[in-house]
Amino acid sequence: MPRSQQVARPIVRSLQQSCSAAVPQTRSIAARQFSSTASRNDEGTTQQPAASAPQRLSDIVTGSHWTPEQLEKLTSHTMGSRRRRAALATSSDIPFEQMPYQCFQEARKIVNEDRQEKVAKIIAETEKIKRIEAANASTFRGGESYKQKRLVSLRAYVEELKILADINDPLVKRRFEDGMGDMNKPIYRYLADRRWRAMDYKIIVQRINQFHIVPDLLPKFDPTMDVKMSFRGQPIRPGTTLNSRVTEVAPTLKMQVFDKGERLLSVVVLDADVPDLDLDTFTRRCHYLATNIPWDPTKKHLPLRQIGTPSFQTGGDLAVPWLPPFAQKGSPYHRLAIFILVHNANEKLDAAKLKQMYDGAGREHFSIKSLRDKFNLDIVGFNLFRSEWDENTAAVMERHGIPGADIEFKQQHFKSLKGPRKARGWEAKRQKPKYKSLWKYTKRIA
Amino acid sequence: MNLIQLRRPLQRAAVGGCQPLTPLVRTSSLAERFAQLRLDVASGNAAVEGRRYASVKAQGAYRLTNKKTIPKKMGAKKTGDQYVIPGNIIYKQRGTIWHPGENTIMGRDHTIHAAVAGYVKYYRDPARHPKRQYIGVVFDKSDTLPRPVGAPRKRKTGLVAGPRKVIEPIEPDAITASGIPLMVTRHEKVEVSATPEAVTAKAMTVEATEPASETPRKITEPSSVIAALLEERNRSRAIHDAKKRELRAKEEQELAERKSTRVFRLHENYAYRETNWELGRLIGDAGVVQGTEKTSSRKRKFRNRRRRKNAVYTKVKQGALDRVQRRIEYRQFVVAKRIERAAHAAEHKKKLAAKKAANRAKANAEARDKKVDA
Repeated sequence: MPRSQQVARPIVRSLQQSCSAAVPQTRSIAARQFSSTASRNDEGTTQQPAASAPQRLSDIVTGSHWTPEQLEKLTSHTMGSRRRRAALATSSDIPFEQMPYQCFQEARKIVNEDRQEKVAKIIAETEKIKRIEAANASTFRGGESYKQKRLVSLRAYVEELKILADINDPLVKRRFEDGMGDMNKPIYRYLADRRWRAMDYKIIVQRINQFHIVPDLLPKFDPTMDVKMSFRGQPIRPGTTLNSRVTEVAPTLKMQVFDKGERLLSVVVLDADVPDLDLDTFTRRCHYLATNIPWDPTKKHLPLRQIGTPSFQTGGDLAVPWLPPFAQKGSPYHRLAIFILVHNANEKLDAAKLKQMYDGAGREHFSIKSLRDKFNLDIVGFNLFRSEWDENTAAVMERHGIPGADIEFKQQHFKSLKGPRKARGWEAKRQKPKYKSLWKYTKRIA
Repeated sequence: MNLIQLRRPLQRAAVGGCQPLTPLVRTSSLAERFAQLRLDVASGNAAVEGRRYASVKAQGAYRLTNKKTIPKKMGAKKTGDQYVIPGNIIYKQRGTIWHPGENTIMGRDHTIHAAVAGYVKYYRDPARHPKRQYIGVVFDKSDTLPRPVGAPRKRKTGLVAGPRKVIEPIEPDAITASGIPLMVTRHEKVEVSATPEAVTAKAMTVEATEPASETPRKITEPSSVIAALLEERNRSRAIHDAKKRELRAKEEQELAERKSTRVFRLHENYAYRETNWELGRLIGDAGVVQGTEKTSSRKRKFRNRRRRKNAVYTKVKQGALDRVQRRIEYRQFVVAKRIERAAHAAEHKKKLAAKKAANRAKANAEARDKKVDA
């Protein structure tokens, strides 16, 4: 076969396929959509893709990850290399799972078999759980404690099986990588967690240690949720020193939790390096506090400036409004820490009480530890940026009525521990009355 | 130590091994028996030890300080609990015998300095590193280091507040005290006439953009796909070329304007002239128009370098080429000459042959005539 024919072969073949689409398909498609996991009552509402209709480009448009315009651009036939355009032009009607590669199809069969096995196991284990739950604790040799332990371990095993059932599915992988995974399903949460822990988590932990968040603010802390921030639409890497004009408005947080269910969150932004010259030490100041924010794995963005406004859909109460971070001239950089706290037992906090406690004068000497302990919260998320004196700080402070822009800090001067040095040299020696004759040379020089 | 002295313990050990453990002498009393069993250090082991006497002092006792080297004066400069201020040297060392701990900093030569005013503490911190020893500075003399795990750091600001100095930006004067402008800029507008090429390019861009806005055609057979792609490639190439040409024209225009813009500054002798560096820029290096060189891409850099090199070596190259040309011409000349000479020689030969033939014919004729006469 000449080279040119070899190159054109897949195109021709796919064209032939699309031409014969009118004829009923001879290729047996897998009986059911591969990753449309069975609906489970312990999960939230999941939208099942229709089992009969395979995913097409037009279906992707409805996804939430990309805007329709972006998708249009991505899938347009006028962009990219010639090879890509040829592939797109001739294969847009072939669904992903029907890609005509023998190895791919064979592998899918094997993965499918494995999945069936796992599903059967899940069913068996669930029944076992039900049986144990129904059984009287006295029938076990270990009694009630044994029963509970057994149930916990079985439930953990079922969760593990749920992930194992879908972990090898190429469609799941694809959907996750396209950002269209349904976070109500354990597999996508698992994948998201794994991706977060691969790098972002490590960076956050490094920032916590190198910026002494532990032990300055908390004795120990391990974040369990992904928190990213962006100022004025610009994503900011943790620990960046930002211009005070950029930080004049509150950031938008991009948050992802990896465990199932609804929960209530509080968001705290605090300055960990407020110089207090009276006590000659650094204290903390609360820059922002919002509470009672309902959150679940499907939610992503939390614009802090919108919390408390009636038009904001997500909900939540604003206790302490945003105070732009500022560092007076000469003070070392200020660490602005963003903490996400989860309410234990989903208890709602009294925003009015928080406002009374922490707004106004209560902002100063703020302690995240005491907030956590007083209101029964757990700290789960963290991010950080820094603030320094810059050319815009004075203007920002003036706009927001913050006093102190006219102050400049300077390094404290310490007197040398060495005593005063005796004057040395020819002239110094001849200052005494003994050398009175030489005074005309030694006194009033220059 | 000499060899015999070294051998002595071995010798002794060998002798001791050969002797029977139980003494052959019959002893009567219990005291005597015990005396037999006792290890007699004083008498028996003198040879094993290799005894030394007090007449020679221990090694190094007579060591003199080396006067030929400069003393480095290493070691602790501050003791524990001693008060220090920022910058004080606490310990001078080669390598990190001591590591910088809380509120201390390590210098370029591993010297430990105080970072704050306080009291020096020498300590170990197994939680941080199992083997290292640290030097720290605390604010309270009674504090101990290391601090308990999870305890917040103790910090002091080390700052004093004062009024903030606002520095107004200084704007350079435009005129002298006597009211003469310090600088005169002469702009020159350069008109680069639009070449017919540019016009065609514009037309092409219009032509090229039109079909792009069409909806992608319905594809039925593979040949049409490939044809469409080829068509598209040609179109995009045309657009690209047109853009490039336009850009180049614009660049040329800008460059021409920049080259003709002159800034004259007022000098001490009240003369307006360009500064020396500006004049220098006008000349520039050989083959380089100053300020036009773009090093945005690697390839461009190479191209510029080549151009510069070419400019420098053009004459040399031209000379060499001329020489080669001359040689070729000479060779051609020689060859032509040779051919000419050969031709000439051949002609001459022919002529001679003809002459000879003529002579011979003449002779023959004469001979025939003679015969006839005879």
